[in-house]
Amino acid sequence: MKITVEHMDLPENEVILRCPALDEEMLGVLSLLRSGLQRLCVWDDSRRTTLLTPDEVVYCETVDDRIFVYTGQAMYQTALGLGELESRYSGLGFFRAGKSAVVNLHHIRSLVSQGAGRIEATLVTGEKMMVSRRYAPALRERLGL
Amino acid sequence: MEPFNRFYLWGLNTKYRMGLYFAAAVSFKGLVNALLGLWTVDTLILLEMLLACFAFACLETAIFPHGKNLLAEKKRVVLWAVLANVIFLGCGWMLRWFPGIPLWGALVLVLFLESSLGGMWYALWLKEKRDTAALNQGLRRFQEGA
Repeated sequence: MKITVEHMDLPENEVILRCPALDEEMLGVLSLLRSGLQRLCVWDDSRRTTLLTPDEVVYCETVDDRIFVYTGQAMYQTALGLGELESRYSGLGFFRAGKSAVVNLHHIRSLVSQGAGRIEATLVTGEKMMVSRRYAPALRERLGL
Repeated sequence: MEPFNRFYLWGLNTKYRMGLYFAAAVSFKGLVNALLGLWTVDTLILLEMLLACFAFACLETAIFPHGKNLLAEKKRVVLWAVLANVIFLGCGWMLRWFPGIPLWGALVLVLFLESSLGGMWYALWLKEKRDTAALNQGLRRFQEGA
């Protein structure tokens, strides 16, 4: 496979694959590109970077202007804001639960309707998270209610 | 301006609650009067009821600042029920809202108030239970559909 890198004035990086047919080699390249786009770059306390698949993320929250990413076993930090996390991984189940939190809907164990239009979510880790009145209608819509 | 706006919005919320309780109180007073053969309601009693309902609505807003949640916050619910009894039974007895009512009638009034409070709790419990079931059903559907 021939690899060419061209430097030119473009608004954003672009990858064009040219091939007569999508053979296994090209499919491999495609899946690598796609997984690369979907992976979330995070780092831990010792500044070791890791690429997480969105499916590993239980929830993200902002504390003192820093964004923390929680998986079932560990806690990391990321450079992405909550808004970016939500918009980038919305299709993979990320949902804005409050001003300072984004939760992965696939890692919610159960939901409880609370007074005043709020919803309490119990995560698979056992932690509880409140979906505020502002974001609860969007959650209902997301769940098809 | 912001404190005024907050006060105004608080008033808006409280006004609805007061109106709801006042409508119930006036309807009940009218019913009791009709049973006693009276076809008028004393204006002073109406004003007293309005003030009592306003006081209760204010306290309710203070107890449940984010909306009534009669299921999760048990201490607040107990306080709310005690205040409802103190305000409505206290005013009814001290301000003679139901003059000429026999003892059994007074007991029926107390029972009615308690059952109304219980009814409000049950209605909210039922609503939240059904909503919770629908939310979890929607969540399972979402998780399985992915």
